[in-house]
Amino acid sequence: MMLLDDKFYRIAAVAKDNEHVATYTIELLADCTVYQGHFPGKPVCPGVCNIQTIKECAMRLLGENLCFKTIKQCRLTAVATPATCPVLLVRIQTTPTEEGYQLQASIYNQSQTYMELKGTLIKT
Amino acid sequence: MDNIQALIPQRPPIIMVDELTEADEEQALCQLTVREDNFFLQSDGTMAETGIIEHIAQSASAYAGHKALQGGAKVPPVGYIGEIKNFHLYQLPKVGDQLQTTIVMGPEAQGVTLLHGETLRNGKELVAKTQMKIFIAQE
Repeated sequence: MMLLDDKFYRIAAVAKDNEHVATYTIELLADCTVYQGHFPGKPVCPGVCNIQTIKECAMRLLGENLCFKTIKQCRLTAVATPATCPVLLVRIQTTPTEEGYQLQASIYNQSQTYMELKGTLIKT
Repeated sequence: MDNIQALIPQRPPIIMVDELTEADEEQALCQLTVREDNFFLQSDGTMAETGIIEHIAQSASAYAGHKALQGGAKVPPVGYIGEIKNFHLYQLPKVGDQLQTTIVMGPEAQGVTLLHGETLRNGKELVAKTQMKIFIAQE
């Protein structure tokens, strides 16, 4: 289920390599209510909102409702904020499995990488 | 124990822990009741797994805050998740469920702490477990 589209982020563009691989361009929405609490006077993207954004891009690509079964590793390599990186790229690479998909994803822009994730998604 | 807002820097709408109920040198226990207004609540009444991860991170933050205040700090430290490793989801909690999370804190090195978190639902069923690296910001 989509929780954060048009709330935390907006999809500006998508470039599909094939039915399982795509790069989404997203805009971070600075007026999202999450920044009232994370943190007061110091808006920083919650890492888990970036993880949720990755999942929602994968759901959009695959046209299915998905949930993380495992996250083998997720590295948060830089702090993202709507002021310092208002536009980000979300790279989604999936491989079908019996239960769902293997996922490799990253969030980045031309200057740096903010998140790298490896995990598995199941259908819900 | 203490008021949760004294222990963590997060504020509504993204407070994901209600209470630190136990804490000693090695581990702590926190709880959260899943309510209708939870930021991570989905349209089917379940809380998204990303909300469970945030709950575990904030439980660790509350534990670190409790330790810092005991050590004489005036305000809790701001911690960031640096890495999530080996997260496993067993089930999604629903509105009305009470989550109990045990945090076991490992050693700290250069501002980075490795911790284990395990979340139960209503005192018995395993919801999720994970390892996490947390950075404590030096103000």
